[in-house]
Amino acid sequence: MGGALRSVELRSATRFFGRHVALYRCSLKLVAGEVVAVLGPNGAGKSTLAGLLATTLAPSEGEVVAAADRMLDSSELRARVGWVSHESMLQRELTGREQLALIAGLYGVASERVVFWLERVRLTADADRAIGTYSRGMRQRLALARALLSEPELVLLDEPTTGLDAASREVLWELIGDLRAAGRIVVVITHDLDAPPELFSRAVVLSQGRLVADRSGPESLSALYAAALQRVAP
Amino acid sequence: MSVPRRTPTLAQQVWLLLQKDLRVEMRTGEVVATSLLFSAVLVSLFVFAGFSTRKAASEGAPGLLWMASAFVAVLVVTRTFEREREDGAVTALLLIPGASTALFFAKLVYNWLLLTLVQGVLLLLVGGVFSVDWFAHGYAVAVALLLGGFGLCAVGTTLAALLAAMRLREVIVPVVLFPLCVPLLIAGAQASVAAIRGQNSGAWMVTILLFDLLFVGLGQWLFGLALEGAGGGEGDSE
Repeated sequence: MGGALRSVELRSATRFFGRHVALYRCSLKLVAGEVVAVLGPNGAGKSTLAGLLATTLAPSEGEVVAAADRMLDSSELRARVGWVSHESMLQRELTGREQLALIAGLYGVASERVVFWLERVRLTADADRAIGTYSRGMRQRLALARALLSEPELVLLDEPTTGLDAASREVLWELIGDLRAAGRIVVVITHDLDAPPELFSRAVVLSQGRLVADRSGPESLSALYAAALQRVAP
Repeated sequence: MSVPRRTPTLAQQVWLLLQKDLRVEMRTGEVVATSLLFSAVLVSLFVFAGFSTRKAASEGAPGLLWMASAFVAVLVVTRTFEREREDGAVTALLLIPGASTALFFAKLVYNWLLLTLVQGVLLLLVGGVFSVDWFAHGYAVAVALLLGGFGLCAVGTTLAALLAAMRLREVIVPVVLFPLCVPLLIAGAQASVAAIRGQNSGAWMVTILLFDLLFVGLGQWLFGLALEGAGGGEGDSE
């Protein structure tokens, strides 16, 4: 399969939707073990960035380059992606257990992992209920389990705290810590500036499709965000 | 943290996706119920319109059967990706290696099974109402329906994927499906007429089979490309 994922890089990536420029000449290299917070106002290009990294969107210009022991093509990179999008990516007629069992089967992951992940996201008691009856927070937790079930090496979390209560947020931060320790690349797109800064090894800020700040270290997200947006304010 | 995996075969992935769709359909009954109701209404209309003689009924019945099949196929295929698109579930499936091809065959077989079920009921219904003994001359009509239904589903499943991102897909699918399937519908109706007249329907069967092969090949090729646009390209610029 080409060995463990070492890095994913956007090289001057631009993405248009019709005439609208969603992301403009964005260059960003993510390496194994990094947890990167992506901040920015609505319409900044954050989800487009996730789509490009997940390879479900192709850049209009520039390229996405992934390296393991060798360079990976887009289908090889895609197979290593776990993605929690602003859509749940779940099928509401299925039960939580059926949804995870389906994804596990399609990836070829042992069914014991379904039990493990249901437990991990605290959904065991509700596992046999239809997803359509779940609360927003429960769906979000199941979406996390769905994304992490295949042990992805590039984890994209788009607004992962949406709908989560305080206890579930703690579970999420713990999961991210585990992913970091396991050497995964984790991208967390968030508006939650109160997220613990020590969780992130790096934070970037997007504004109007442009990368306007890129900082390493445990700087508070709100301070970085405010400073970055102040710099680009007209 | 690494977990051992056994890469599933294409057949295993198809089976998992097919099981999922059948399970959901058994729970909701949406597609089968609407298709059966539609078929019953259509047959009733023909009953009230009335065939003047039994011979006319016998000769008109294959046309009714194929017309109903075509309309039911539209009902079935337009719903192909509705459930997966609702919360973006199709995007999660497209991340899985090999799942795009598996999804095509699973959806094709799923649509075909539903259509075949409704066609079976139609066969009994039309046969009973118009006193047509479909099986008096062998099983040619049933075989033509099976093969023709497969072709309809191959075209319809591909179109459903191609048009999945369009707002008016329920309108556009039949507009594109019917012209594309004209050769298939003609061949199917001709094979059925030949069969009930006790004539050889082999040439028409071969035509249907060739159509099926062509559109399964094309569909498999187009399907992945189509879904990439529909499921992956979320189109927002957050």
